[in-house]
Amino acid sequence: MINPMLEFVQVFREFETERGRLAAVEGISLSAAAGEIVALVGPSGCGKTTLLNLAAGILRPTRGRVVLTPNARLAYAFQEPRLLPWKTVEENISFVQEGLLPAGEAAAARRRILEETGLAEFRRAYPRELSGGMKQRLELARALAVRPRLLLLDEPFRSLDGATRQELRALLQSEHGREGFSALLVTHDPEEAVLLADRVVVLSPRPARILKEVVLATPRKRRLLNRALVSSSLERIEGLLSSAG
Amino acid sequence: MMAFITRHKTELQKVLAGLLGLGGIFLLWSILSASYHPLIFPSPRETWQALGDLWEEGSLVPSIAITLHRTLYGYGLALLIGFSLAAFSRIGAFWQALLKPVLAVVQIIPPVVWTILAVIWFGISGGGAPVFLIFIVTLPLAFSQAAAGLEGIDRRLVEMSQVYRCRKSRVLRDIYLPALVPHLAATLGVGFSFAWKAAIFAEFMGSTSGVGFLLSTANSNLDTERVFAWVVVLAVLMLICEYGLLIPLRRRAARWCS
Repeated sequence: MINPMLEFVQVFREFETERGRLAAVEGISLSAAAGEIVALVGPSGCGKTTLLNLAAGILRPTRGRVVLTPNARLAYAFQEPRLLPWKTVEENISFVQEGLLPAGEAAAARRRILEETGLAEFRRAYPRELSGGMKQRLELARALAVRPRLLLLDEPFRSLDGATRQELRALLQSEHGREGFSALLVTHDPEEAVLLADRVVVLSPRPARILKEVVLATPRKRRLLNRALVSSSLERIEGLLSSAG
Repeated sequence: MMAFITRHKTELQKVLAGLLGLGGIFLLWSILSASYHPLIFPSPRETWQALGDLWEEGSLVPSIAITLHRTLYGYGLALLIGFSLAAFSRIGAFWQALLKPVLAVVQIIPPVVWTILAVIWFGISGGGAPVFLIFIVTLPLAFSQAAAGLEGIDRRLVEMSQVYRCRKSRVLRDIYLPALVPHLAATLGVGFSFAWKAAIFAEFMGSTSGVGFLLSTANSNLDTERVFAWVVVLAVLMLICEYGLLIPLRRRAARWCS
């Protein structure tokens, strides 16, 4: 792969616990090319979020390297929304945009994303005035509003109802089509992985190791229109997950 | 009128209960004063008369202003340095380990010892001794409240700001400072009342002006009515400060950060 946006090279990550060292990630090597969406699926607690935190620079590998394209604009939609309670919806977005985008571009991106996520009428609301699902939308909106080159998504649709989930998946697709960012998507839902990603990486129970990489050759748009096209990939991934426990 | 009462029933009940408590104190005071000589326990009427004398002499308001000025100066300094030291102690475990015992020692030394030292170092003619005492007794409180506030800052928000490469000045202004607001509000409440008492104590022990000095003079002259008059003034001032300023401030801070 030429110039990957993100690359994990033989990454190990351990944590110090009261019961000694706990290995969370073991010898992971994977990469995401420019414009590619890579989904990480695996059993609960296997270390998927740890991998995102390593990619974001929140954690450092115990061994190995995580390499990001220099100056790549990064965004992270956290699993539990990390919103500033004393700032409004719009201010939460502008807080992360400042310094990353010129003022005019930031304002335009903010307006558009607020419209598309259905948050425009809540722009002056505080996070405490939003439902759990709305906070999740805001978390995603904030990540998209910086026009990232690399987007890290940790179960971004988890606490949403079915219709909203569909709506935001479509938004992610259209933003990806428009902006062409790379993404690392953590999900527990194999169907979501095969619908949104170009490649699905199946992880083992903790410590996370790569069990299999499934490349989805069918174009994403066709997969969305005809889910039968991905049924064999989905069955493979589900099979791997159930055998992994 | 009825609609207002219904809407604010709980608040009105609280106000009534508070007034009942104050009425109880007043009743007890009246009963006790009837049983003792005015030199020991002056009545509310005698106290009111002494208060009138203080007003006519023109010493009431200027003395309060002097004490308040010293309190704000000493306490403001303690807040500034306490919060700065707390922020400094966050740099690393070494600085935290260095500062904590120093401030613990400052806290352990009784205020009366600090007062004696303040009088020796600053004399009694200026305002140096009271300001120093206020500063030194409220500094550990300001430090510990700020340290607790910084300790309680949501690390996840700081991580988020690092991911988006937010400037440190913005992180300080938009994450650290707002997160400190509830602690600052709590510190202000407890600390201000502490500082006010320390100011009066210091003026009582070693000053030639302020409320504490006038209390000391009244005490030396066995003018118990004036001592009681000052007690009433101080109690009213603290009640105004607590209910008019600090409680609304704490409520606002809690609402803002929820």
